[in-house]
Amino acid sequence: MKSSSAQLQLSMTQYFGLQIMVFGAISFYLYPYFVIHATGHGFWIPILIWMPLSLAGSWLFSRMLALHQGEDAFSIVKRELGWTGIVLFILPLIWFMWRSMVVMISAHMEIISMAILPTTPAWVIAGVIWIAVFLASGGIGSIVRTGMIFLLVSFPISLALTLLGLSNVEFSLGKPWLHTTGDFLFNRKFYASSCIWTGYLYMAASGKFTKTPGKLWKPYIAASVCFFPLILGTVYLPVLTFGAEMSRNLTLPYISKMDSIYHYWLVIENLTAVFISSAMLYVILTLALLLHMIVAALRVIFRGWNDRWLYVIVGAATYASTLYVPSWDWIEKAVEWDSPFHLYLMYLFPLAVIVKSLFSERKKSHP
Amino acid sequence: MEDQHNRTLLQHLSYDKQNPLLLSLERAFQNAADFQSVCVGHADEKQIYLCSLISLGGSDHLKFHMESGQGEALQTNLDSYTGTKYTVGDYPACEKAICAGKTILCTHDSSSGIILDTENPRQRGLQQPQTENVIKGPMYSFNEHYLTNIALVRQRMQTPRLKIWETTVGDITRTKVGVLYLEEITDPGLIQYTCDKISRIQTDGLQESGEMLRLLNPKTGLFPAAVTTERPDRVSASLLNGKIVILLDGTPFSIIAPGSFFDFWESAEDQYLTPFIAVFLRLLRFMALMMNLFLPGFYVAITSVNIDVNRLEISLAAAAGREGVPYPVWIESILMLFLLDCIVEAGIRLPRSISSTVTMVGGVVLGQAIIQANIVSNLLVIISATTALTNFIVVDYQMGLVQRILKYFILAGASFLGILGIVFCFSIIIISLSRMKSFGISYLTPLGPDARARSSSLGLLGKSHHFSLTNWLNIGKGELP
Repeated sequence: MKSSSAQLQLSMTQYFGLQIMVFGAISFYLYPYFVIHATGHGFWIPILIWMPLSLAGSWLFSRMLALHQGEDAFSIVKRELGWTGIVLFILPLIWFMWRSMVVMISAHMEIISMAILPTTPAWVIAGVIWIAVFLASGGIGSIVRTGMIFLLVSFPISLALTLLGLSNVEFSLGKPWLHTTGDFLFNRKFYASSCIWTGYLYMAASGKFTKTPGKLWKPYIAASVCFFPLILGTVYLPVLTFGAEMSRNLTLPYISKMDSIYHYWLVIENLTAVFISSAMLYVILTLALLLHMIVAALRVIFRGWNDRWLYVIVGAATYASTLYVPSWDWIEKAVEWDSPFHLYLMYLFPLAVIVKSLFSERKKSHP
Repeated sequence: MEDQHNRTLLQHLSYDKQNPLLLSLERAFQNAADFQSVCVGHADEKQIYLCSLISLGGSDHLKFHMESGQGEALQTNLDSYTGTKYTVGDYPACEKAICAGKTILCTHDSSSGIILDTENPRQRGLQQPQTENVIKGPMYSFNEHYLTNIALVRQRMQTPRLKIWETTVGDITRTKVGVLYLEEITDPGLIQYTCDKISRIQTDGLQESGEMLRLLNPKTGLFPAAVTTERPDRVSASLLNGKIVILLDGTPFSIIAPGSFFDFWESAEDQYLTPFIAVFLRLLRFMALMMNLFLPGFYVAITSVNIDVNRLEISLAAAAGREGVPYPVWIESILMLFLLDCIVEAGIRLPRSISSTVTMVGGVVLGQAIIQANIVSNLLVIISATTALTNFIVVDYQMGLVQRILKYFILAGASFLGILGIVFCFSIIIISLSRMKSFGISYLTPLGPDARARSSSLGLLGKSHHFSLTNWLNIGKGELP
């Protein structure tokens, strides 16, 4: 019997489940917009480029955790790099996570207002953060258990909606399939589209709950492969339905695609409502994971602070910030501005810690 | 009794003229009309007394004879005692023994007494279960007598590996509590945890297992912390499954711990059916749970908040049905659900002869009248009836009550935010469940972490023939103790 969360052990299946939930939370709203705007054709190429790159990042990240088994990324950074590490990595990570939460809530708030609850005030919908605070304050065990149930509910719905979306597509609209000029490499939106591949960073706090942190990249790969058809669907379903040009003019191409699905045998006419409802489960879980991570990071800096209060403070700060988000344009820009940040954290953060740890090891063995 | 024998017997007693036991007992049981202390003979010029509560102790174990004593007055003397081996106890032990229905044999000046097992428990015979009926399976249930219940379990599990840890709980009621487990199968940590928790209970009295459950898991909130059952077959199956069972004197309901949310959807009968049928029945119950919780909320959401979600034809039919109804949908729904809950509650509490009439009047007459009066729509009557029906499918009575409350919570969410409100309420319920622990184990077992390791997974039982959905849904990795 386990008495404290410090003794918790998570299985690779559970990490896989969490990764799927993270993919679900960040893939559906801005990602299709970025990819469709990044290039004119061969959308699968910019999608596919980031996949192996993120796998390399996740491998680096798991190597970093494996060097200091039983510790979270923040404790490792503090121990290896001291206050320099905190300033260089932990503070940017907290900033990035907090921004991710604000963007995620604001984006979904906008989508909900546009699609299903036009008259409901934004401050009510933004209250979803408090559900996430409630979940996060239960600890990682509670997050994982909830994640498994949410996964069982939301993933089949997402899969079914993607399959339903295939019913009225015109494959010729996706041409040319293989031709590319590499134009996306010079487009900022291509780099912004890497935001959905940052999922393994969310394991910075929860990576310590396994006996084999060096293998944490495996559930990430498995989740990427399993979710890949849905990621392709978010981009290609609108393109193959409306065409690339028209999709480019839509604010939310995938939501518009959901709106266009009609089958006489479907009891539910508005599939957008179903899609958004199931997506909210991904969002709640990912927000809780982010909150848990931010609080774990803050604990490294403010040692004696009460966890419960930290959750409430972070939740309140996020809630207040989302209410000050001025427009949908700002959300798009925010993700673009954050691209250098998350690329820095995806690769440089684990790499720096690994290099420093190896140097320290060498120093110890050859004093 | 013969004088020689009497002398041998009385040698066991200790004497302290300052604290005579008889006087102390008479003082303690002063004003207790059913307490009696009678002189039943003498030895070595010492008078021998029998003290007992006549309401609890039976005289079947004692034989008396009458003889003429001094002055030719008739005297009643104790002739013999038939029963288990007697013990000797001091005042606290004797007081406790009298309260348990035993009889104390002492002299007028002894400070200790001989405790005779003359207990005559008042209990009803074995009957069919009242709350867990099955079509196929054993047809008897526990009763209120602790030892009878232990015997029923022992009859089904004829092994010395069945262990019982016993204590009393309650400063005044001194209720006997037993923790049953199978050695080498049940997690020793779980046994330790439970026994420690029970030992630490501070209360005046304990009447029922539900009360005990609350004392053991004070933070469980709305949901019951563990399954309670009155079926010996379910108890023995749970013991084989590595769980512990808590039996209480005075109630036919035992606690099977630790509890998982999914256990509440398992009927005792499921194990006696083929797996496919068992899975079908559990799916049926699960669907009923979903309908019970979400149907009224969904109706409110699609008729008042997210009108465009539904097919136009259904929306038009719902709107037509509501023509003339003066209230918003959520008021109409709450009104109907509240009335239905009142009918259900009345049906349960009233005597059986009247309850069917009340149900008839409430269900048929009131239902018909309420539609004709344009207070609620036809569609809502169908929704409410389905909701009530699906609530009766729940195996566990405690969980049925929880569902009755939760549907109002979801209805409130749906009235406010439509389908999104239902999703939020669903999330809150799941999060509450995920934060709960029953006896230190995840309430969402088999979903880990902290899920309970099954006994068969410990390799102690060999191939388990017991069917459990948890085997099929073993998504969480069970952890070895």
